[in-house]
Amino acid sequence: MKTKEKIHVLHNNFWMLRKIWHYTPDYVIWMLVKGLVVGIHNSIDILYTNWLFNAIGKKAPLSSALRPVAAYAIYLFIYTLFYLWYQQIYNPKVRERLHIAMHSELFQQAVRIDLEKYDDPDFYNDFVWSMEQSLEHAAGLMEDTGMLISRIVASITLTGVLLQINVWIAITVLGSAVAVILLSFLQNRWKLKFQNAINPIERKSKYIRRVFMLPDFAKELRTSAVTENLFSAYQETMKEKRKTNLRYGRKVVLLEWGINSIQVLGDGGLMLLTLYLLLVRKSLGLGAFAISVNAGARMQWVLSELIRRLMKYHEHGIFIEKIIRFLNCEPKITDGSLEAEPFETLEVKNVSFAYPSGTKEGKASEKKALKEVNFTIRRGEKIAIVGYNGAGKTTLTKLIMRLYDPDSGEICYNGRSLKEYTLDSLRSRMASVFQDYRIFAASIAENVVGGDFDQEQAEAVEAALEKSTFADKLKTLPKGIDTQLTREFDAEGTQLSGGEQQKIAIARAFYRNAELIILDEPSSALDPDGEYALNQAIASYAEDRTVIFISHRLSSTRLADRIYMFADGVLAECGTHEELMQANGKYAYMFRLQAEKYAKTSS
Amino acid sequence: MKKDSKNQKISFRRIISNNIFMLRQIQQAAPFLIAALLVTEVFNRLGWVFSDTYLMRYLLNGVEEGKNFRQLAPVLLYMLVGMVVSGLAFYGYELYSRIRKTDVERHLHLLVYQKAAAVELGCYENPAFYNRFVKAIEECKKRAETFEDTLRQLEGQTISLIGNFAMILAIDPVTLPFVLLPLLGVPLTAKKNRIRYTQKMKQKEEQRVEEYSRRTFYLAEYAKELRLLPAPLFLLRRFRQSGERIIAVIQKYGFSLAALEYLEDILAEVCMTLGITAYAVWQTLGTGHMGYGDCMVIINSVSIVGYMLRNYARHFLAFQENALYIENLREFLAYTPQITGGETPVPQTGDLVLEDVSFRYEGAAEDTLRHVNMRFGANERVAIVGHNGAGKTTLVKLLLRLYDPVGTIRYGGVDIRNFPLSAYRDLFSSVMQDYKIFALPASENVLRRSAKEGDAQIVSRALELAGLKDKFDAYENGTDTIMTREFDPNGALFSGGEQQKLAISHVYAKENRFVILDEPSSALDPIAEHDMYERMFDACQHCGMIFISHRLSSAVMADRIYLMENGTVAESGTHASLMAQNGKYADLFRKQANTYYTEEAV
Repeated sequence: MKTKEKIHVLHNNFWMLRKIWHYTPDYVIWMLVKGLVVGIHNSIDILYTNWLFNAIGKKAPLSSALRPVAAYAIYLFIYTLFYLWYQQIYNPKVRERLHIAMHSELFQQAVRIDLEKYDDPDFYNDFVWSMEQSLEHAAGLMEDTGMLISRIVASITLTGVLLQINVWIAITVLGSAVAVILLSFLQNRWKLKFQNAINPIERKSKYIRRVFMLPDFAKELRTSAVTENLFSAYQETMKEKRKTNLRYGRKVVLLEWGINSIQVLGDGGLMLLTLYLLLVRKSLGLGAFAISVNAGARMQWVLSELIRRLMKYHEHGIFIEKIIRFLNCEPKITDGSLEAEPFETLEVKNVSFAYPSGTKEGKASEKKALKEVNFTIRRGEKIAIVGYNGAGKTTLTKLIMRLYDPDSGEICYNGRSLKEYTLDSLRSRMASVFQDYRIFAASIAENVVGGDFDQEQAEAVEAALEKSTFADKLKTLPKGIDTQLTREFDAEGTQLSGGEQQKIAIARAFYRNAELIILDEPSSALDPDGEYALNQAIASYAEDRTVIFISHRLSSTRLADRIYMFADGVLAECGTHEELMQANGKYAYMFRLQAEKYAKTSS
Repeated sequence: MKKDSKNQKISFRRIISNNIFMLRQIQQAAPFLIAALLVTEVFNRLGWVFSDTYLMRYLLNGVEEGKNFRQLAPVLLYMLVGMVVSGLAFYGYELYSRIRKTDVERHLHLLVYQKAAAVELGCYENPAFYNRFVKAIEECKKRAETFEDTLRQLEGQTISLIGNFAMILAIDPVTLPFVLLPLLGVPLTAKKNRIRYTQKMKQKEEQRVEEYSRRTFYLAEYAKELRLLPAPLFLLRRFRQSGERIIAVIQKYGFSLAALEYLEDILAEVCMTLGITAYAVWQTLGTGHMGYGDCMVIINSVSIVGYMLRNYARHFLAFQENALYIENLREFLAYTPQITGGETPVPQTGDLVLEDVSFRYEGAAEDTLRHVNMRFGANERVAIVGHNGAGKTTLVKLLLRLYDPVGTIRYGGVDIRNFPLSAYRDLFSSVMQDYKIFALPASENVLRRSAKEGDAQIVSRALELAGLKDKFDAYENGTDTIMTREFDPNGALFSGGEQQKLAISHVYAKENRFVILDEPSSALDPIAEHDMYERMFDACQHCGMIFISHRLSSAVMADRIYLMENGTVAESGTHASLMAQNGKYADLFRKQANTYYTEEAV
């Protein structure tokens, strides 16, 4: 298992390096150059100190002792120039270039994958992660690789320099560095355990903080005694935090002492050794002594850095795996070859569907969302789909739009399976407004068009807004259809109310001028008057079009040519309002329950 | 930006007094923490100064003077043993401070939370106040830590500075000017920081755009829409444009930044360090005034002193920055809540009466409620209906005394401002339109108070009435199940309707004088809505019930209906009288009823 994982780590990191090479080849080259330069830089410092103090120790003439100082000064002028150019100018720029290139690919893939994937929490987590942190890990991999190279170069040159001075010095330095690193590993294990123990506690304490901070909760805190519960939960949390700190803190702190003691003893021992070699053996120059003052610390730093960077590859590998999985995910819902013609009929044949198990919806229901559903809709019909929450109404519309494919049975458009059509052409024949419609941070026009807006489209856009009863509001906006929506991008953006947003979403459907219109609880954000106005607007627009209308309020169903009543994923009843009332089944019961109070008194 | 820096000005006295305020808070929570910190740091730093500077000089000069190994080695060994042993004391402190710091955190958070629960709701709507409040909450722990840290750094650096300074003076005071060289770089640093700030701000704007694009592409809520838009990649265009603008910003400021930093580095590393080296080498080899040890130590000490001096400014800036944040905390804690109670005992029963009540939200252009007169009887069921924005929810907030209006609200004939606030609010159970479920055990969500003997029965009855009993029976931990997945991976995830039922269950778990429901059925399907109203009317037989609803079918059952319009009461009466009046209510009712009204239904 472990070896298998290791292979993946290597493979994944290489995959990412290749990707980066593909996006920004210059980044890879400069990263290598920088790694080399910085690595050598770490040893040049030591060489310089050695050179200088040997000269002093030998009582060399002033001019030759000043030569290393001058040489080092010139070197610093050049090195600093390179380093700052890379750090302040080149690196931030190339990162952003990488960001753009990489995310363009990720975005395109995000739109391509099946909607179903969003319901799969494991996949979705990876996906969100890919979107949020891919840059961090791609650029991180580059920086770590550069640093790794520089640390390798530095540790080799440093060891070389020390070996040349004296074998025992080299051994002492390496020995204490290794001991410190080993102890740090042990300490890190404990730190990690501590982190794991403290994380859930921190989450709790952050949650409580949020409750006190966010306006959402403010009313509840004032209108009930729930603060009592929150305070006692907080006290409990802090008690746990204290205990956890004590339990793990002891070990971490003790190890810290151990590490520091080894460092002190290593440095002291080294000094003792050089002193001995200098005074008793007389086999060293003063330069060696000067180096030994900080060679130990330097070596430890270089080696532990080297290992730290190496360890990062494992972490990168795990995360890059997620990106690979995401980018390699092939959608199951793919194009057919036919272009969809104008709408004539829609047949739902024996369709069953269950959300994949393990998904949020799958778990919640643990049963099929739709069971053996059959019906046919013809051009021009007005269809109402009714039922309780969770009866499968919304699922059905998702299948019709081919956001999911049914598990069994098939849905036919103009007599042929939906799968035979290209997705774009099929979807362009339908227009939908969902319960949870979204407005994008773009201009009104772009929101209506659902793509890039072109001045030639202005008339059609305005017409669609007119039909969705947004025209009055539009007149009050000085920039008209070019008005930016939401404050995401600019502080001057227009914030629309819930009802107004819904009108934009409806205009988006109208603009497409499709034959088949699917409306899922479109009036949910409106008060009764608004609902009335909207129903009128839809009715006049829909005139000779085909409409599928979903609602759990039955007020608007009487106008439908046919009503489909769903219960628990089954098409339970079907017919006109009159027929269903006469049948005296579920629909009639539901209708009466809602109508009862109105009917009693207005008669 | 100019405005920004103006806001951030704070007097020197205030800086001191704010940091002292923080010191006091820390002292209260952990009396010995600061003292322990100061003492340990003295020993820690003295150890370093002696080993790095004094010991080194002693050894090297000893070498030059021809002392032998046996004379020098013991001093080194004593030093080592001393450092290892004193290290032990230092880590004793580390452990102590870890524990004590959680005490400081708890102390500060409790202070802030208690205040947060005490201030009036209007504070959340005042952006300036709220901003300060958020910063106070978010920053208080960090600011205590920064204070401790800065104090420690300042103390430690001062010790190092004095130690090394003394060494320089002892060896060769002529080198002192070199120490001051990097100070020339201070204005450069200031300029660099300004440029970096501007660059960051400009990048931030663009990064927000990028962030939004990213969210659009991954949030599940956009997924359906993105698949159905004809050309969703138009959203990508903005992303690219922002990225290109970021590159331009880097290009624009990066050069000046690099140039300034170059000068700084050269000043410190070449002019100072190498300058002093050259001088020391000359003194050693040319004039012979210095020994090896002096030479090496002075090179070392000068760079330490230079570094410390440059950093001094940073520590004072840290205190200043800290003071700014502590200022938020202090102002927040010092705020006196505007809505407070009196001493009058709350009567057992009585009507709620609004007399000529008007109300305007802070900063709003016009009144939300205008000269409203209303009565809510002690045992009456009252419906409030009307359009969005008519002022219904505001009215409810006034009844709960979340705000104080102009005019008078009386309970049992007494102005409600005369009652103790919490006792008055305890008369009510309310379910808000935007009800919230807490990540606490389900039973605590029902009770919304600390647990008492015999609560289990109350909870299970309340849940049964709310229609959630079966739901909780299915959970292993029953009503102890933690709600939401906020921090418990096995927490209960509820649908909107179930959440609303849970919020409603609170009403059934309490002795109420009044029950207030603001759109209590918005997430329920018609059958659940029907059941809910039936049970609620049943439960409210011996108390007052006030409910807001869009669906007029529920208003029919009310003893009294208020129709609100533009902040006033447009009509009031029973359903029958309002229908007879044939006004706005009747019109609204018919509009809704029309679609249902059929012969079969009668």
